[in-house]
Amino acid sequence: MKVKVERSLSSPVILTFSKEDTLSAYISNGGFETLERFLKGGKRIEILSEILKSGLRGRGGAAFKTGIKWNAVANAKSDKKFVVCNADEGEPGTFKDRWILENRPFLIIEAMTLCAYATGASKGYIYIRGEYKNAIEVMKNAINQAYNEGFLGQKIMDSDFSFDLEIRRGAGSYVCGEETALLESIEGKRAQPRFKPPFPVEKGLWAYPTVVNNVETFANVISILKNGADWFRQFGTQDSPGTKLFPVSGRVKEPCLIEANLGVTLGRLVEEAGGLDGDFQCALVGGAAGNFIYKDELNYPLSYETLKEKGKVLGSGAILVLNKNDRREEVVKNILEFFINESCGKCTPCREGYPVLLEKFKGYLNGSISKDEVLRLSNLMFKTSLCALGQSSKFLLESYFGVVL
Amino acid sequence: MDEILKRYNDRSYLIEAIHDILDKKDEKGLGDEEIKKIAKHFKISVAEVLGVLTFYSMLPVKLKVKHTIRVCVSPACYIKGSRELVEFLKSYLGCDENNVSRDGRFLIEEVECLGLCDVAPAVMIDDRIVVNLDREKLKRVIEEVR
Repeated sequence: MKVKVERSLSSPVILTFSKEDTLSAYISNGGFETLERFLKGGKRIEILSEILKSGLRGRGGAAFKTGIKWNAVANAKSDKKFVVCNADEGEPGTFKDRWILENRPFLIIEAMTLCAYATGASKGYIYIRGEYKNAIEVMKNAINQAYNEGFLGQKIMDSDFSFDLEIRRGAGSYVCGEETALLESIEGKRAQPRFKPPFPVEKGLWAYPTVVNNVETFANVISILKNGADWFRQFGTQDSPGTKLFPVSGRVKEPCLIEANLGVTLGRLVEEAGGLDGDFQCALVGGAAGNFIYKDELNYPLSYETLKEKGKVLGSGAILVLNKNDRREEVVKNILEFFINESCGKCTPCREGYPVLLEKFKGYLNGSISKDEVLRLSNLMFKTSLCALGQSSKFLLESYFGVVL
Repeated sequence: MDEILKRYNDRSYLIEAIHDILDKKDEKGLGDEEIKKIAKHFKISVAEVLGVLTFYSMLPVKLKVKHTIRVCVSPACYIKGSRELVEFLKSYLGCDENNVSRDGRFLIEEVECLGLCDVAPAVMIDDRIVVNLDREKLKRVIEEVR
């Protein structure tokens, strides 16, 4: 995979240009220093407050503040707590977590261990999608090395803190990216999302308080604890601090993974990816759960809050560029079929809604149905579906039609 | 199979155990007797095991093919012609209505994003990833596997 650092970014927070898949390579880059510092006298509260102050938001798509989750679990009274890393990267167009897992596995192990230390958890799971065979292998080796050298398991680095970490493989289900579906899957069940509330921070794995964070979210943690929240806030925007990994694919000359400040423009990312292949039509940002961004928005900053102002979402940050020869309506149909296939079947609006929505969209294309009728249904599904899978077409279709309800 | 099941005690390992069992098998897919055995081991009903098997697309039930070809049809691969690749594969391998090849060795599955969008179109043949595909390259790889 080609990786690039956007040119205005002085140094990357997450990307590295040499592999760190051996423990010795990680340690020689300063790995496990942060864990050691906290295990030998650092305060748990310091970890919690630093992550909160950094304003780090979840990088899986929902952009919830990581510090709030960690504090909620830390404050929960329970004899058991869990830390879960969501590595079920399945959002179409997204391949950022795969890079992190394959290249910096120890960074995730250290971050999860510190999260467990700060929140009082003693067991962690990394849930990796089954298709990512190589990432699973790399992570498995990394966990074994960490156990052998005393960075996982009983009395880590001769402290009183113990933490066990285990990999669970997914088995081909997009909805497992939804945190409560993922928890069901770790429990060995069909991955049907749960009703929220209660949220996983209150009742997660086996109903114990659980932190669930995306891979890229964890990948920011060590840098924040090493350099401080203020350092982290020099990157990105006021409400979306930090950098972001943007997987760029489609009609660009060099599809690649780019690390850039949140708030970077789409135009700049396309430029970094070698420029356009053909004439720009639009980009699908955020995958199937995302939306279209057009030519007049090429210079608009991409951050959680700026897109929200427009009724749009950044989601996973995936960018699929379409040129004028690509048929946008075919991409919409493709995505609606995707949602039909991936709906878990638990709630009616999603299960029954998507097939009808696809028919209505086809009806719109042949002129028999108005766009308002299509939008009305997707809006209804947005309001009534149990999880984000059933809610996602709203952004896609509103951006397709160029309206915000 | 007994060896694998012995490693796993609680029910949460159901999917892990099935993965391991499938990885060791020449023909992908579980039969009735195996499913009963798994249910008994984890002290859950056969219906529950079947429920899990049918929920996840990577866990096949009663399938006697040797190789699974997973073709990504999500947007990044789609705009680079993955549907045409599926059609080509079906005719090249002479697939029946269940997408099993004439010689019974291959199953073709249309799957969702494999996270290989930067090198689209992409397929997975069993555990092997093949990217930047066109018909010629796909044909070559299939003959190697066959």
